[in-house]
Amino acid sequence: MINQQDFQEVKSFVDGISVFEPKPKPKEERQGQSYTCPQCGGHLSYDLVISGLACSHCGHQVAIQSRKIGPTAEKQEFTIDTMKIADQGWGKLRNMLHCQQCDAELSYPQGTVATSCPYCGSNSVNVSQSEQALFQPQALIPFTIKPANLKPFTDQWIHDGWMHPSALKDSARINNFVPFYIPFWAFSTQIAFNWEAEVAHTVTERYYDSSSKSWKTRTRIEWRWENGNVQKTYTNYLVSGVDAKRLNPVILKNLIPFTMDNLVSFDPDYLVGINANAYDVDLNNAWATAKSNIRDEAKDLAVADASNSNVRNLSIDMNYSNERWRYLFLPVFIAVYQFEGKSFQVMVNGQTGKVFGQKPIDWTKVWLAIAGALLPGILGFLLGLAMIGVMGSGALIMLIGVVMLFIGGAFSINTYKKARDLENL
Amino acid sequence: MNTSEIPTPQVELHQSLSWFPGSMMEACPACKRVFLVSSARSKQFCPICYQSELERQPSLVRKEVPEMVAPIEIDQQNLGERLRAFLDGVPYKTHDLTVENLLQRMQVVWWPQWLVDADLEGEWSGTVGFDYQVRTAKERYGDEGWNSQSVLRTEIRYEPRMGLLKRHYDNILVPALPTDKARIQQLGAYDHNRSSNFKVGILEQASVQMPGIEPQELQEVAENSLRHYAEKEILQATGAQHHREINYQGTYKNLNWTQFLLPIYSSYYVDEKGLRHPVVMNAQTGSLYGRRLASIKKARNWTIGLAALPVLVFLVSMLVAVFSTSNSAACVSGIAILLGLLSLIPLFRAASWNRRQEETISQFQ
Repeated sequence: MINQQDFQEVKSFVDGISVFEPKPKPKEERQGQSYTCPQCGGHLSYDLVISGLACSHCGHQVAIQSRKIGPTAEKQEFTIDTMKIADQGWGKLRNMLHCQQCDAELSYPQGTVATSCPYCGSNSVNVSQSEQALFQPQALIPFTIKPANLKPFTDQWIHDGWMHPSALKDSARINNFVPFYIPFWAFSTQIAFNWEAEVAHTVTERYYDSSSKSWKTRTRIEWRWENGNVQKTYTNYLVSGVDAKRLNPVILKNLIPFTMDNLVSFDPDYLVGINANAYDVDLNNAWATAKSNIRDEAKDLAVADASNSNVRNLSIDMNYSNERWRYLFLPVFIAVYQFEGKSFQVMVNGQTGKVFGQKPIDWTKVWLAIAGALLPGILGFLLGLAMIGVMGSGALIMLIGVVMLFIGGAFSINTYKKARDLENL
Repeated sequence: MNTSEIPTPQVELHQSLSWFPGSMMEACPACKRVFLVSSARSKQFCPICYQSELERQPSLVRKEVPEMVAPIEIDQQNLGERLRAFLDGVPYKTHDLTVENLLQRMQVVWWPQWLVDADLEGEWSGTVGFDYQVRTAKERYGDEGWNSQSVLRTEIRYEPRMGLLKRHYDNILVPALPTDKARIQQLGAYDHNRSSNFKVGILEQASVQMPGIEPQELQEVAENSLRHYAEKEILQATGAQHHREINYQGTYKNLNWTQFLLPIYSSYYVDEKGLRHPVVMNAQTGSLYGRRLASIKKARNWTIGLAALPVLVFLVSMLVAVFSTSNSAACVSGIAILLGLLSLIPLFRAASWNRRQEETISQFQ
């Protein structure tokens, strides 16, 4: 007998044969919800300390029933329908939110999907209320770092490095961390490509030198065609869904990796009282970014596959297979601190505690370090030069000076570049 | 051979054979095949193996009448052309192996398959696959950097399905001869879509081979065929393009058995040892089957003829060599030996051809 509870009849293309398919799983109604305390009527919000909902008034706690799905969580394909929807502009940002409790129409920064109403204090989760439909997040990683535990991580980070002002360690106060769910697109795919290139080989040969009338040895570069086949699997390749103008992409990139084993199915309860950004980099653009990065890596892989890295006329034919995507919310603490009148952005991976952010550069320290690195070489060179002039010997000291100058130069360039990169972060 | 050794098919006695009037039942003592033959063909050689003359059997006929036939589509003119093409390239053909002889001995033989009608009723379940397309990219890197081309790739999504089946199936084919599969391999497949209803008179001057397997022995085979057919229809009903598995569990009722007759042209030739070799043709497609043997005797004659001159030259050159001091006689004898060896080619060719025929062409089934 057909189990009518789990199966439903669908159209049959042959008379006398009935066809039943599994009933689709009922879609969870993600209406905007008001989170009211069942005990006192106060407002519930997500409490990072207890990893559940808690009443700010009476302290009543409500556990979140969510399913841990891990890295094998369902992934979506780039089907024609999905891509058409993505092309048609799903993911346009919302500007207006509606409070379920007091009916206030709230104008919020684009991309906000969860917030608290400033008028009634209600924590209204507006996941389904956007005028233009968004892809819904499929999974998220809950915060595992408690706000109270952030200090050791940030203290360690603020003390790291010598290029920063000494006063930073004493005066910088990074204690206003805001928990934020950042949208990420996670892509999985396999690439396979054939490459062909000319690879340089050093050939040593003997030749007869007619002027000296003797056999000599010389080396020359011989370009030989090589080819190969490379395959690589990418799993959960993360691309941020936030516009680079809003959150520093370099900082975000440095917060990776996240441990996907802790993914849970999306539940709006996790967002109550916690800011969350809807994506403003849509699926197509995020996939284009991922592919661009994969292409760059493919070139490196092709060169690595060659017998040596000196190649020219490289050509690659690459195919993708099993392309899948997921839309995830990943936990990040964001803070802005002030130092000497300037603002600096810091983020903490809400799962691993990894800290990365902007720090001011003390250029006096940097220049002193560069000068200190170059000075021994310069002095050695000058001393050697002087000794040659006065005593006729000192070439060795001059040579040592030149070597030290080279070492100091390399250190200086590296230090300068590092300082510039950190300042431009 | 005693006719009692011939296996008598399990058949019912009928007063008259309305679908093949004037026919009689005969069997081959050599290959044990049983035929209904017209009186004009009585006591002839077995039209399949040609090893023995047919012998009379009791007048027992099947209750399952022929329902459909695959019509003969190769006419007499076409037949000659195809035989000519078939014999082309046979070296030193056996004297009897000619188009004229084959045409003269040619006869039509109909051989049977079972047609089963049945009612199926039961449940089915399975995993079927639907095609869908995903957008992907082919990327090429060269002198001008990366060039990305958007392409569509077809993938298959497998889903479980189940349902009920209540269908009547007509004319599902089931083998009626133990050698059915081998015969199809030898003659090539018949197009059953071009079949027509059986009409009395179509068998005139022909022989009809009787089924070698009885319906009661074929119950399981018939059910498998019906199930296979039902599963094809189930796939069609789901609208899917692929399947991993489809299982039907239910009843097979009201099985009705009739015959489907397939035509062959059958003829033979006699080799130089006096043995008969069948040459058969699928009368629908014209595909021919049979060993085409070369005459070793003919090839040997050619070899003797070609070797005569070199032998003569060799003997003369040897005589000259005895009475002369010149070396040229030795050269001439050497050439004569070489030519003598070349004259063996016809014999080798014929032997090699026959060996290849025997290795690749098995006995007609």
